[in-house]
Amino acid sequence: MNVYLAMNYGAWALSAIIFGWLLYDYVKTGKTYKESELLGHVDRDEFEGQEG
Amino acid sequence: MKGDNVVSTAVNEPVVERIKQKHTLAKVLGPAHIWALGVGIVLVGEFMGWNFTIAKGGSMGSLIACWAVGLMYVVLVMCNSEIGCVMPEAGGQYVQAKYILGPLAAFNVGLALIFEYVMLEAADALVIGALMQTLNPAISPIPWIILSVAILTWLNYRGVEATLNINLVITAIAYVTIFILLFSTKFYIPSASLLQTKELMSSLPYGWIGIIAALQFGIWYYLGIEGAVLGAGECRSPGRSLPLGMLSGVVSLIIGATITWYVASGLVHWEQLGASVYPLYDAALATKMPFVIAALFVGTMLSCLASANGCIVDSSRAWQSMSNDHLVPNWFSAIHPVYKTPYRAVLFLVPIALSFAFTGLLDQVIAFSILSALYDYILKAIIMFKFRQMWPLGSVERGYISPWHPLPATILGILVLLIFAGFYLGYGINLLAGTLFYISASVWFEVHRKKYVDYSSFITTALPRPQGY
Repeated sequence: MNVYLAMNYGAWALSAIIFGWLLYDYVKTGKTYKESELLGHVDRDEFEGQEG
Repeated sequence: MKGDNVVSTAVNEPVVERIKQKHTLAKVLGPAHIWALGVGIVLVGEFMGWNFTIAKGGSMGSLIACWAVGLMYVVLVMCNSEIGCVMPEAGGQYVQAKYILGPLAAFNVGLALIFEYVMLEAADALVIGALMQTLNPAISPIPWIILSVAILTWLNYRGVEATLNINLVITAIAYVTIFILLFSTKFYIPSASLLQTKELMSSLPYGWIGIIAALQFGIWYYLGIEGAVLGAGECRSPGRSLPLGMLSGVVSLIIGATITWYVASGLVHWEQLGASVYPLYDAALATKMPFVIAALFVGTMLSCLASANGCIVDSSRAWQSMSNDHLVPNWFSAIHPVYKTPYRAVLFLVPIALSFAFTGLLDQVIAFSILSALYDYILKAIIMFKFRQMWPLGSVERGYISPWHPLPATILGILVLLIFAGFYLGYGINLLAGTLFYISASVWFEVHRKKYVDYSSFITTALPRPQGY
């Protein structure tokens, strides 16, 4: 195969891996942390839960 | 959106402190990072785009435009540093507009900043794709455009310190390649010099009006240096880092721009240079030295990467700041709990940059970037006057005081208006379309978005009450 075509496919593949990792981390972060923790707002449930 | 319903709380200090600590950007940047952020974004302008000043104003017109616009950026950085030191939050000019002019101006400045940088990022990616294609026509630019944006997005997602450390290195290498080209010409030995300044340069082929027309492209030498102030919120010591990093950055750029003009004008005929896509690379080709040609290929590539990298840093911080204040949905303001980066803002701007890069319309993309910057600059002059009125010297602690006020802000305003005139001469339709876009966005903000702004939390920095309020 032409080396330049291989470079094109390589660039596509590497881009897919990087965007795949970003998507994976984005979803994992959303599942691991509460929205209030990500946004920096004090979560009333957490506040009340601790107080109780 | 969920995030728009801000929870007003009774105070439970440990919980509030813990969440505040989790939600702050990391304070890791010093003057060298600010220099790299500013110069890194801009340096690509020495490698391409500036040469259209020669097409409009000839060699001498180009040099006058280079220095006139350089003066504009010196005064802009002086104003920016003074206000930026007092308001050390991520968001730069956006935060300044917020504190001094109010929500509508802040929305417009934020939007202009984002489009300035996203368009510049798109232009950088476009050039990277085109450069790769110069290796062989079989190489398609599209996957390289996507790959460059993907890598830089990943770096920005993972953390600002590593991102700007890499920017520091690649910016320095790209800057050095300009000097490699300069010394390869043996300019210091008149008898052996490759520079043919008398034969290749022109004076003012279109007269003084050519200089006005050249000014809009003269911006390309420096466009984006002011964005370094967007890193203020992540500086260890903004009062020291901002003026030191930004002023040394603008001086580096004026030196680099003058050398670029001198070398390229001495190696390539002015008419050919005025139409070139890669003026410095063309100048390197004129030397016929393989090492110099390779160095300038690498330099052009690295300058594009550094520029796009800095653009992602700046645009995401501006978007996150606007989101924090509910000028756009608050959902975007999330900070990554591990990497401490505005990861949703970083990801959100990727498809916008890519979609403009895919158009392939380099001059249109650049024109919108420049126009957005001009709106930002004219507001900056107004902001500086109002800042000194609201907080005169002595009323608030300043890390840096801009000398000779109101001269710098006046020069800034006059030069920006002159560049608007030059923009009208070259891109009148774009000027109209861009203005309509910002007017439409302002109407949308006033009608649909302004009601979400929480005025009790809009201004948070502990500044003294402004004079007259």
